[in-house]
Amino acid sequence: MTEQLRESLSAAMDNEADAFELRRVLDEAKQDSDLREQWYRFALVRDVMREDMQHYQPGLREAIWQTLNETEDADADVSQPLRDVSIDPQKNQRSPWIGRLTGTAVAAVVAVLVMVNGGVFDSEIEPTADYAGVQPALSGSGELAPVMYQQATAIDQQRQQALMLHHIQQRAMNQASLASFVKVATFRSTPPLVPAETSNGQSSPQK
Amino acid sequence: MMNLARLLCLATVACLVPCIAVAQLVEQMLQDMNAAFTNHSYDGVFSYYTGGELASLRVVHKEVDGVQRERLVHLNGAPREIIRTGEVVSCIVMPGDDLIALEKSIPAGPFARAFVRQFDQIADIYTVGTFGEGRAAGRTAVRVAISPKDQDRYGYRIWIDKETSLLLRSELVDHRGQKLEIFMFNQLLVGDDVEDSALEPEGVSGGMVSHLTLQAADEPWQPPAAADSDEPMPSAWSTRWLPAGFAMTDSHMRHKPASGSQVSSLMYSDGLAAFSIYIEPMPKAGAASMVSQNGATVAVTHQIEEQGQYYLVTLVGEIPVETARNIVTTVHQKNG
Repeated sequence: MTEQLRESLSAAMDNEADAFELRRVLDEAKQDSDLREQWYRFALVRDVMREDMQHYQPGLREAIWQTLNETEDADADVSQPLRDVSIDPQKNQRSPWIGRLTGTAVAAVVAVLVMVNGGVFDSEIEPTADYAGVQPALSGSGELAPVMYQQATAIDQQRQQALMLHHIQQRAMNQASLASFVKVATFRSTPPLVPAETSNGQSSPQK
Repeated sequence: MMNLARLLCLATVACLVPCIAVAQLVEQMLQDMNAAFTNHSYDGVFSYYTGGELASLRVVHKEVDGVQRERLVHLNGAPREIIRTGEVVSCIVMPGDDLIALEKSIPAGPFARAFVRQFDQIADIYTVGTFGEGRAAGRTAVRVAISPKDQDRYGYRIWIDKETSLLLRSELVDHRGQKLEIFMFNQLLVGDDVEDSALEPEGVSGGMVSHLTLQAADEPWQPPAAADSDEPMPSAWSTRWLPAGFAMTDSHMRHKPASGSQVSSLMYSDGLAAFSIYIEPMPKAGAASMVSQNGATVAVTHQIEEQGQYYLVTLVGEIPVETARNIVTTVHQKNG
């Protein structure tokens, strides 16, 4: 993975990527399983760093921070203490926290997650009532099987937005009335997620 | 007893007659409004509020040499123009604009060419009435309310220009009366004073033009040759539940330009509100069950299993999120 691609992925994770950048990442991710894996891990790490930890086991957060800080000490690329970022999770700027995470740091976090829990997630997590019918995350071979998880990634948002735009466009083109073209003209990306879904949601492949 | 029955009967008739009269009056007003969109020349600036965002746009409409022409200019944010000449729609956007993702060719469905196409169709599911006069863009308007009889769709309050029947203001409201979208002219010039030159794009430097057309409905859908999907998509999908009055107006299969994967789409309308259901094979990397909302437009993604295959079902439409959820969970494969 090139540094540029990593930067783009980082931007995509924070919904900071522009349309071209996001498209490039998506295109690359189609062919590049490493990139997809990285994306998945970034999402995991993001939860940890945002201290969105209610579904994780107690003590896990401390273990992760310790690992991160150790990795950070050993890595010259990490110029800023990661802890600063966690203090301000709302910080919304280009080249954010994830850009400062090196591959080793991310790998270390994932290793801790797996080690502590024998799996990434607390097995007690219940799917939200709306989507109780979610399907297994891991198949016997250890490969990722289709899964519904609760926290949307940039890809998920992109997918919904593309469909939203298609619906709006289809209406407008078929209706050809002013009111429906207005919807097209004012379409903007990244509609805010409905709060109930994001606050309760958690990146949680189900058993 | 006879008297009472007669009295009741009279009372019913006395009540019904005005109701029917109002409905007919409103029907006529809406038809006039639809016609006004195409029959008049106008050049105006309006505000459009949706999803917590306020946009300001200019619209110019005029018939030139027998061809309907329209120009919609986004006045704030990134420069965007939509220009319609007859059936051809062109979008002028800057590189990086989300609208680049617009499809070049959209299948023509039986959708309304106007605000309401078949008024009799909506009479069973909406109540209509006038509620006095109001002002918008300095003009006097008649106010009309279109209220749903259930909570599975939204209502409208519209302001129709007394003089020209043009729509001056419209509000999309939920069952609590909360305004989800507001469209309102701030300034409007109607009639022969509208210049032809106002229809010409401003030619923002660096802008990109994409032309969009309607694909004839009877034109067979041609799948692109390459698709990286493992399984052919079953084409027949249906829902076990729909709110009253909604019927499928269109269904077709398409390929997502980004991934090449197949997507089956179904469109439904009750004559006023509409939603689309998109069904695609579950991506290998999984997907989130999620709900997005942008003004009145909601998108709900849900997973279903049909004969051992997983599919991702996304409903997008201008309907309440609870209704969208109720519909999306009943999507199933026909005869399956």
